[in-house]
Amino acid sequence: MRGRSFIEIALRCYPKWWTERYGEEMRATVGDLVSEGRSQTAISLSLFRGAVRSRVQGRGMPQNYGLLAARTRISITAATIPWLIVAPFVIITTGQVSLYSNTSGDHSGVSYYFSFLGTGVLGTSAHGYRHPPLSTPTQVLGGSSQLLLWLTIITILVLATGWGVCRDGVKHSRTPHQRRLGWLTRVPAIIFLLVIGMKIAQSNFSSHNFRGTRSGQSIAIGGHPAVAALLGDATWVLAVGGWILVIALAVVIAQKVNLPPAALQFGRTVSVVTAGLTVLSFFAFVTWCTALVAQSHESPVAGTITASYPHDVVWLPVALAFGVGVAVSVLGAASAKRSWRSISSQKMWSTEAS
Amino acid sequence: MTGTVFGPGTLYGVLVRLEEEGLIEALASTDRRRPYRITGHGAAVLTERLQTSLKVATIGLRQLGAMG
Repeated sequence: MRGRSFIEIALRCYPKWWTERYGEEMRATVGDLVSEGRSQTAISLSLFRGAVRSRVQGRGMPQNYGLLAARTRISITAATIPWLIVAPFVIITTGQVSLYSNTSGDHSGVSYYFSFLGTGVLGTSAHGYRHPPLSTPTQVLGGSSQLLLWLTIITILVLATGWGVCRDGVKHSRTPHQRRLGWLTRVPAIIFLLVIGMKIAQSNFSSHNFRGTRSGQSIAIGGHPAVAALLGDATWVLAVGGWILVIALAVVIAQKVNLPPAALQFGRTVSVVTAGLTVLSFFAFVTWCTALVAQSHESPVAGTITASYPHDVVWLPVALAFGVGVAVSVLGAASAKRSWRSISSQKMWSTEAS
Repeated sequence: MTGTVFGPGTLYGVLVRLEEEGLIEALASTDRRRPYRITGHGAAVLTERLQTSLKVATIGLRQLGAMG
Protein backbone atom coordinates (compact mmCIF):
# COMPACT_ATOMS: atom_id res chain seq x y z
CA MET A 1 0.00 0.00 0.00
CA ARG A 2 2.86 2.33 0.90
CA GLY A 3 4.70 1.47 -2.36
CA ARG A 4 1.52 2.26 -4.29
CA SER A 5 1.18 5.67 -2.65
CA PHE A 6 4.84 6.46 -3.39
CA ILE A 7 4.20 5.57 -7.04
CA GLU A 8 1.18 7.89 -7.03
CA ILE A 9 3.23 10.73 -5.49
CA ALA A 10 6.04 10.17 -8.02
CA LEU A 11 3.56 10.23 -10.93
CA ARG A 12 2.20 13.55 -9.63
CA CYS A 13 5.71 15.01 -9.66
CA TYR A 14 5.71 15.08 -13.47
CA PRO A 15 4.84 18.41 -15.12
CA LYS A 16 1.27 18.95 -16.27
CA TRP A 17 2.14 18.90 -20.00
CA TRP A 18 3.90 15.57 -19.50
CA THR A 19 0.94 14.04 -17.66
CA GLU A 20 -1.43 15.23 -20.39
CA ARG A 21 0.68 13.58 -23.08
CA TYR A 22 2.15 10.47 -21.41
CA GLY A 23 0.26 10.14 -18.10
CA GLU A 24 -2.30 7.50 -19.08
CA GLU A 25 0.05 5.15 -20.95
CA MET A 26 2.68 5.51 -18.22
CA ARG A 27 0.11 4.53 -15.58
CA ALA A 28 -0.77 1.47 -17.69
CA THR A 29 2.93 0.53 -17.97
CA VAL A 30 3.43 1.00 -14.21
CA GLY A 31 0.33 -1.13 -13.54
CA ASP A 32 1.78 -3.90 -15.73
CA LEU A 33 5.15 -3.74 -13.94
CA VAL A 34 3.48 -3.91 -10.51
CA SER A 35 1.37 -6.91 -11.52
CA GLU A 36 4.56 -8.60 -12.82
CA GLY A 37 5.86 -8.33 -9.24
CA ARG A 38 8.53 -5.67 -9.84
CA SER A 39 9.70 -3.80 -6.74
CA GLN A 40 7.42 -0.84 -6.09
CA THR A 41 10.25 1.06 -4.40
CA ALA A 42 12.42 0.67 -7.52
CA ILE A 43 9.50 1.81 -9.70
CA SER A 44 8.89 4.86 -7.46
CA LEU A 45 12.60 5.81 -7.51
CA SER A 46 12.73 5.49 -11.29
CA LEU A 47 9.62 7.66 -11.58
CA PHE A 48 11.04 10.30 -9.20
CA ARG A 49 14.26 10.44 -11.26
CA GLY A 50 12.23 10.68 -14.46
CA ALA A 51 10.07 13.47 -13.02
CA VAL A 52 13.12 15.52 -11.99
CA ARG A 53 14.72 14.94 -15.41
CA SER A 54 11.56 15.94 -17.27
CA ARG A 55 11.26 19.11 -15.17
CA VAL A 56 14.91 20.09 -15.61
CA GLN A 57 15.39 19.12 -19.26
CA GLY A 58 11.84 19.78 -20.50
CA ARG A 59 12.26 17.26 -23.32
CA GLY A 60 9.11 16.69 -25.37
CA MET A 61 7.55 19.87 -24.03
CA PRO A 62 5.21 21.66 -26.47
CA GLN A 63 7.05 24.70 -27.81
CA ASN A 64 4.68 27.52 -26.95
CA TYR A 65 5.49 30.77 -25.17
CA GLY A 66 3.02 30.36 -22.30
CA LEU A 67 4.39 26.97 -21.20
CA LEU A 68 8.05 27.94 -21.64
CA ALA A 69 7.56 31.26 -19.82
CA ALA A 70 5.85 29.46 -16.91
CA ARG A 71 8.70 26.95 -16.84
CA THR A 72 11.28 29.77 -16.83
CA ARG A 73 9.50 31.52 -13.93
CA ILE A 74 9.24 28.33 -11.87
CA SER A 75 12.89 27.48 -12.60
CA ILE A 76 14.02 30.96 -11.52
CA THR A 77 12.08 30.50 -8.28
CA ALA A 78 13.58 27.04 -7.77
CA ALA A 79 17.07 28.51 -8.23
CA THR A 80 16.60 31.40 -5.80
CA ILE A 81 14.20 30.14 -3.10
CA PRO A 82 16.59 27.54 -1.56
CA TRP A 83 19.05 30.27 -0.58
CA LEU A 84 16.21 32.36 0.87
CA ILE A 85 15.02 29.40 2.94
CA VAL A 86 18.43 28.23 4.18
CA ALA A 87 20.22 31.58 4.66
CA PRO A 88 18.54 32.58 7.98
CA PHE A 89 19.46 29.22 9.51
CA VAL A 90 23.05 29.57 8.29
CA ILE A 91 23.25 33.10 9.69
CA ILE A 92 21.86 31.95 13.07
CA THR A 93 24.24 28.94 13.19
CA THR A 94 27.37 30.93 12.34
CA GLY A 95 26.36 34.14 14.14
CA GLN A 96 26.93 35.66 17.57
CA VAL A 97 30.51 34.44 17.86
CA SER A 98 32.19 34.89 21.22
CA LEU A 99 35.96 34.78 21.41
CA TYR A 100 37.64 33.93 24.67
CA SER A 101 41.18 33.24 25.81
CA ASN A 102 42.16 29.76 26.92
CA THR A 103 44.15 31.27 29.78
CA SER A 104 41.58 31.83 32.51
CA GLY A 105 41.85 35.16 34.25
CA ASP A 106 44.78 36.30 32.12
CA HIS A 107 42.72 38.25 29.64
CA SER A 108 39.66 39.02 31.72
CA GLY A 109 37.92 42.22 30.71
CA VAL A 110 39.34 42.06 27.19
CA SER A 111 36.88 42.18 24.26
CA TYR A 112 37.99 40.16 21.25
CA TYR A 113 36.92 40.65 17.64
CA PHE A 114 37.79 38.90 14.40
CA SER A 115 39.90 41.12 12.18
CA PHE A 116 38.60 42.34 8.79
CA LEU A 117 39.36 39.13 6.90
CA GLY A 118 38.68 36.95 9.92
CA THR A 119 42.09 35.32 9.99
CA GLY A 120 43.24 37.24 13.06
CA VAL A 121 41.80 38.44 16.35
CA LEU A 122 41.95 41.88 17.88
CA GLY A 123 41.59 42.36 21.63
CA THR A 124 40.78 45.72 23.14
CA SER A 125 41.33 46.54 26.77
CA ALA A 126 42.27 49.51 28.89
CA HIS A 127 45.93 48.74 28.06
CA GLY A 128 45.45 48.98 24.30
CA TYR A 129 45.25 46.40 21.50
CA ARG A 130 46.26 42.73 21.72
CA HIS A 131 46.93 40.27 18.90
CA PRO A 132 46.66 36.87 20.59
CA PRO A 133 47.70 33.74 18.62
CA LEU A 134 45.06 31.61 16.89
CA SER A 135 45.00 27.90 16.09
CA THR A 136 44.49 26.95 12.43
CA PRO A 137 40.86 25.76 12.91
CA THR A 138 39.95 29.03 14.67
CA GLN A 139 41.59 31.01 11.86
CA VAL A 140 39.59 28.99 9.32
CA LEU A 141 36.43 29.55 11.39
CA GLY A 142 36.99 33.30 11.28
CA GLY A 143 37.88 33.38 7.58
CA SER A 144 34.99 31.18 6.47
CA SER A 145 32.42 33.04 8.57
CA GLN A 146 33.65 36.36 7.11
CA LEU A 147 33.47 34.88 3.61
CA LEU A 148 29.94 33.66 4.35
CA LEU A 149 29.00 37.14 5.51
CA TRP A 150 30.29 38.78 2.32
CA LEU A 151 28.64 36.15 0.12
CA THR A 152 25.37 36.73 2.00
CA ILE A 153 25.59 40.48 1.40
CA ILE A 154 26.33 39.98 -2.33
CA THR A 155 23.48 37.43 -2.67
CA ILE A 156 21.05 39.82 -0.95
CA LEU A 157 22.09 42.59 -3.39
CA VAL A 158 21.66 40.27 -6.40
CA LEU A 159 18.26 39.08 -5.18
CA ALA A 160 17.15 42.62 -4.34
CA THR A 161 18.05 43.72 -7.89
CA GLY A 162 16.15 40.73 -9.30
CA TRP A 163 13.20 41.53 -7.05
CA GLY A 164 13.18 45.12 -8.34
CA VAL A 165 13.04 43.93 -11.96
CA CYS A 166 10.38 41.36 -11.01
CA ARG A 167 8.32 44.14 -9.37
CA ASP A 168 8.57 46.16 -12.56
CA GLY A 169 7.53 43.05 -14.51
CA VAL A 170 4.47 42.58 -12.28
CA LYS A 171 3.55 46.22 -12.94
CA HIS A 172 3.65 45.64 -16.72
CA SER A 173 2.01 42.22 -16.70
CA ARG A 174 -1.55 41.47 -17.69
CA THR A 175 -2.46 39.56 -14.58
CA PRO A 176 -5.62 39.55 -12.47
CA HIS A 177 -4.97 41.25 -9.09
CA GLN A 178 -1.95 42.92 -10.73
CA ARG A 179 -2.35 46.11 -8.67
CA ARG A 180 -2.59 44.21 -5.37
CA LEU A 181 0.41 42.04 -6.27
CA GLY A 182 2.38 45.12 -7.33
CA TRP A 183 1.71 46.67 -3.94
CA LEU A 184 2.62 43.46 -2.11
CA THR A 185 6.01 43.33 -3.87
CA ARG A 186 6.86 46.63 -2.12
CA VAL A 187 6.24 45.12 1.32
CA PRO A 188 9.63 43.29 1.66
CA ALA A 189 11.55 46.56 1.15
CA ILE A 190 9.30 48.32 3.68
CA ILE A 191 9.83 45.50 6.19
CA PHE A 192 13.60 45.58 5.59
CA LEU A 193 13.75 49.31 6.35
CA LEU A 194 11.49 48.86 9.38
CA VAL A 195 13.71 46.07 10.75
CA ILE A 196 16.82 48.26 10.42
CA GLY A 197 15.01 51.18 12.07
CA MET A 198 13.82 48.99 14.93
CA LYS A 199 17.30 47.53 15.42
CA ILE A 200 18.75 51.05 15.73
CA ALA A 201 15.96 52.02 18.15
CA GLN A 202 16.55 48.84 20.17
CA SER A 203 20.26 49.57 20.57
CA ASN A 204 19.39 53.10 21.72
CA PHE A 205 16.93 51.79 24.32
CA SER A 206 19.30 49.04 25.45
CA SER A 207 20.92 49.39 28.88
CA HIS A 208 24.25 48.23 27.38
CA ASN A 209 24.67 51.54 25.65
CA PHE A 210 28.05 53.16 26.24
CA ARG A 211 29.14 56.70 25.50
CA GLY A 212 32.69 58.03 25.46
CA THR A 213 33.64 60.97 27.66
CA ARG A 214 36.17 63.74 26.99
CA SER A 215 38.59 62.10 29.40
CA GLY A 216 38.61 58.95 27.24
CA GLN A 217 36.52 56.81 29.59
CA SER A 218 33.41 54.83 28.60
CA ILE A 219 30.33 55.20 30.74
CA ALA A 220 27.14 53.20 30.61
CA ILE A 221 24.07 55.32 30.09
CA GLY A 222 20.69 54.29 31.41
CA GLY A 223 18.18 52.83 29.01
CA HIS A 224 14.84 51.15 28.89
CA PRO A 225 15.57 47.40 28.91
CA ALA A 226 11.87 46.46 28.80
CA VAL A 227 11.29 48.62 25.70
CA ALA A 228 14.47 47.27 24.12
CA ALA A 229 13.35 43.67 24.76
CA LEU A 230 9.90 44.40 23.33
CA LEU A 231 11.45 46.00 20.25
CA GLY A 232 13.78 43.00 19.89
CA ASP A 233 10.82 40.58 19.92
CA ALA A 234 8.85 42.76 17.51
CA THR A 235 11.86 42.93 15.16
CA TRP A 236 12.07 39.13 15.16
CA VAL A 237 8.36 38.75 14.38
CA LEU A 238 8.60 41.33 11.60
CA ALA A 239 11.77 39.79 10.10
CA VAL A 240 10.31 36.25 10.13
CA GLY A 241 7.01 37.55 8.71
CA GLY A 242 8.86 39.40 5.93
CA TRP A 243 10.96 36.34 5.17
CA ILE A 244 7.87 34.08 4.83
CA LEU A 245 6.08 36.75 2.78
CA VAL A 246 8.97 37.03 0.28
CA ILE A 247 9.02 33.24 -0.22
CA ALA A 248 5.22 33.04 -0.58
CA LEU A 249 5.15 36.00 -3.00
CA ALA A 250 7.92 34.50 -5.14
CA VAL A 251 5.93 31.25 -5.42
CA VAL A 252 2.69 33.10 -6.30
CA ILE A 253 4.45 35.25 -8.94
CA ALA A 254 6.11 32.16 -10.45
CA GLN A 255 2.77 30.40 -10.80
CA LYS A 256 0.36 33.20 -11.65
CA VAL A 257 2.07 36.27 -13.10
CA ASN A 258 2.76 36.48 -16.82
CA LEU A 259 6.04 38.41 -16.56
CA PRO A 260 7.29 40.18 -19.72
CA PRO A 261 10.24 38.59 -21.62
CA ALA A 262 12.77 41.21 -20.41
CA ALA A 263 11.97 40.32 -16.79
CA LEU A 264 12.32 36.61 -17.60
CA GLN A 265 15.70 37.19 -19.24
CA PHE A 266 16.95 39.14 -16.24
CA GLY A 267 15.49 36.51 -13.91
CA ARG A 268 17.44 33.85 -15.78
CA THR A 269 20.68 35.77 -15.12
CA VAL A 270 19.76 36.32 -11.46
CA SER A 271 19.00 32.61 -11.05
CA VAL A 272 22.37 31.58 -12.52
CA VAL A 273 24.30 34.09 -10.36
CA THR A 274 22.32 33.11 -7.24
CA ALA A 275 22.94 29.40 -7.87
CA GLY A 276 26.68 30.14 -8.19
CA LEU A 277 26.67 32.18 -4.97
CA THR A 278 24.66 29.44 -3.22
CA VAL A 279 27.30 26.86 -4.21
CA LEU A 280 30.12 29.13 -2.95
CA SER A 281 28.23 29.81 0.30
CA PHE A 282 27.71 26.07 0.76
CA PHE A 283 31.45 25.41 0.41
CA ALA A 284 32.19 28.24 2.85
CA PHE A 285 29.67 26.75 5.31
CA VAL A 286 31.10 23.23 4.96
CA THR A 287 34.58 24.70 5.61
CA TRP A 288 33.19 26.46 8.70
CA CYS A 289 31.60 23.20 9.93
CA THR A 290 34.85 21.28 9.39
CA ALA A 291 36.84 23.94 11.27
CA LEU A 292 34.27 23.88 14.09
CA VAL A 293 34.66 20.11 14.51
CA ALA A 294 38.47 20.40 14.28
CA GLN A 295 38.52 23.16 16.91
CA SER A 296 36.37 21.08 19.29
CA HIS A 297 38.83 18.16 18.98
CA GLU A 298 42.03 20.10 19.60
CA SER A 299 43.35 20.50 23.11
CA PRO A 300 43.38 24.13 24.31
CA VAL A 301 46.75 25.87 24.16
CA ALA A 302 47.37 28.53 26.82
CA GLY A 303 47.09 32.05 25.45
CA THR A 304 45.26 31.10 22.26
CA ILE A 305 41.74 32.19 21.45
CA THR A 306 38.75 29.88 20.99
CA ALA A 307 35.68 30.85 18.98
CA SER A 308 32.34 29.64 20.26
CA TYR A 309 28.92 29.93 18.67
CA PRO A 310 25.71 29.61 20.74
CA HIS A 311 23.73 27.78 18.03
CA ASP A 312 26.48 25.65 16.49
CA VAL A 313 24.88 22.35 17.59
CA VAL A 314 22.54 22.46 14.59
CA TRP A 315 25.38 22.57 12.05
CA LEU A 316 24.70 19.06 10.68
CA PRO A 317 20.97 19.41 9.82
CA VAL A 318 21.66 22.89 8.43
CA ALA A 319 24.50 21.52 6.28
CA LEU A 320 22.26 18.70 4.99
CA ALA A 321 19.42 21.12 4.19
CA PHE A 322 21.94 23.44 2.53
CA GLY A 323 23.22 20.54 0.38
CA VAL A 324 19.69 19.76 -0.82
CA GLY A 325 19.13 23.49 -1.42
CA VAL A 326 22.30 23.70 -3.54
CA ALA A 327 21.15 20.76 -5.69
CA VAL A 328 17.70 22.32 -6.24
CA SER A 329 19.23 25.74 -6.95
CA VAL A 330 21.71 24.42 -9.54
CA LEU A 331 19.03 22.32 -11.27
CA GLY A 332 16.67 25.33 -11.24
CA ALA A 333 19.29 27.60 -12.81
CA ALA A 334 20.09 24.98 -15.49
CA SER A 335 16.39 24.66 -16.25
CA ALA A 336 15.91 28.46 -16.37
CA LYS A 337 18.84 28.77 -18.81
CA ARG A 338 17.49 26.01 -21.01
CA SER A 339 13.91 27.30 -21.19
CA TRP A 340 15.02 30.90 -21.79
CA ARG A 341 17.25 29.61 -24.61
CA SER A 342 14.20 27.92 -26.18
CA ILE A 343 12.22 31.17 -25.93
CA SER A 344 15.00 33.38 -27.30
CA SER A 345 16.17 31.05 -30.08
CA GLN A 346 12.67 31.03 -31.57
CA LYS A 347 12.01 34.70 -30.75
CA MET A 348 8.72 33.63 -29.19
CA TRP A 349 8.04 36.96 -27.49
CA SER A 350 7.28 38.56 -30.87
CA THR A 351 4.42 36.09 -31.41
CA GLU A 352 3.36 36.65 -27.81
CA ALA A 353 3.28 40.43 -28.32
CA SER A 354 1.19 40.11 -31.48
CA MET B 1 18.10 -9.37 -24.99
CA THR B 2 20.90 -7.91 -22.84
CA GLY B 3 19.01 -8.58 -19.60
CA THR B 4 18.90 -4.85 -18.78
CA VAL B 5 15.61 -3.88 -17.13
CA PHE B 6 14.56 -0.24 -17.49
CA GLY B 7 12.49 1.49 -14.82
CA PRO B 8 9.39 3.30 -16.15
CA GLY B 9 10.99 6.72 -15.54
CA THR B 10 14.05 5.80 -17.61
CA LEU B 11 11.94 4.08 -20.28
CA TYR B 12 9.70 7.10 -20.82
CA GLY B 13 12.71 9.45 -20.74
CA VAL B 14 14.16 7.47 -23.66
CA LEU B 15 10.80 7.26 -25.48
CA VAL B 16 10.33 11.04 -25.28
CA ARG B 17 13.84 11.66 -26.59
CA LEU B 18 13.41 9.23 -29.50
CA GLU B 19 10.02 10.78 -30.34
CA GLU B 20 11.45 14.31 -30.13
CA GLU B 21 14.27 13.35 -32.51
CA GLY B 22 11.75 11.81 -34.92
CA LEU B 23 13.17 8.30 -34.58
CA ILE B 24 9.88 6.77 -33.39
CA GLU B 25 6.24 7.82 -33.57
CA ALA B 26 3.22 7.06 -31.44
CA LEU B 27 0.32 5.23 -33.10
CA ALA B 28 -3.31 5.98 -32.44
CA SER B 29 -4.78 3.65 -29.87
CA THR B 30 -8.09 3.15 -28.09
CA ASP B 31 -6.35 1.32 -25.25
CA ARG B 32 -4.45 3.03 -22.42
CA ARG B 33 -1.31 1.34 -23.74
CA ARG B 34 0.00 3.24 -26.75
CA PRO B 35 2.11 1.42 -29.35
CA TYR B 36 5.13 3.13 -30.91
CA ARG B 37 6.58 2.53 -34.37
CA ILE B 38 10.05 3.19 -35.74
CA THR B 39 10.06 5.89 -38.44
CA GLY B 40 11.96 5.81 -41.74
CA HIS B 41 14.54 8.20 -40.29
CA GLY B 42 14.74 6.03 -37.16
CA ALA B 43 15.31 2.90 -39.25
CA ALA B 44 18.11 4.65 -41.18
CA VAL B 45 19.81 5.81 -37.94
CA LEU B 46 19.43 2.35 -36.38
CA THR B 47 20.87 0.67 -39.50
CA GLU B 48 23.89 2.98 -39.36
CA ARG B 49 24.40 2.29 -35.64
CA LEU B 50 24.09 -1.49 -36.11
CA GLN B 51 26.55 -1.42 -39.03
CA THR B 52 29.05 0.46 -36.83
CA SER B 53 28.51 -2.10 -34.05
CA LEU B 54 28.93 -4.92 -36.57
CA LYS B 55 32.19 -3.39 -37.81
CA VAL B 56 33.49 -3.08 -34.23
CA ALA B 57 32.42 -6.66 -33.42
CA THR B 58 34.02 -8.03 -36.62
CA ILE B 59 37.34 -6.28 -35.92
CA GLY B 60 37.24 -7.47 -32.30
CA LEU B 61 36.54 -11.07 -33.25
CA ARG B 62 39.28 -10.96 -35.93
CA GLN B 63 41.79 -9.69 -33.36
CA LEU B 64 40.75 -12.37 -30.88
CA GLY B 65 41.10 -15.02 -33.62
CA ALA B 66 44.60 -13.76 -34.48
CA MET B 67 45.58 -14.04 -30.81
CA GLY B 68 44.16 -17.57 -30.48
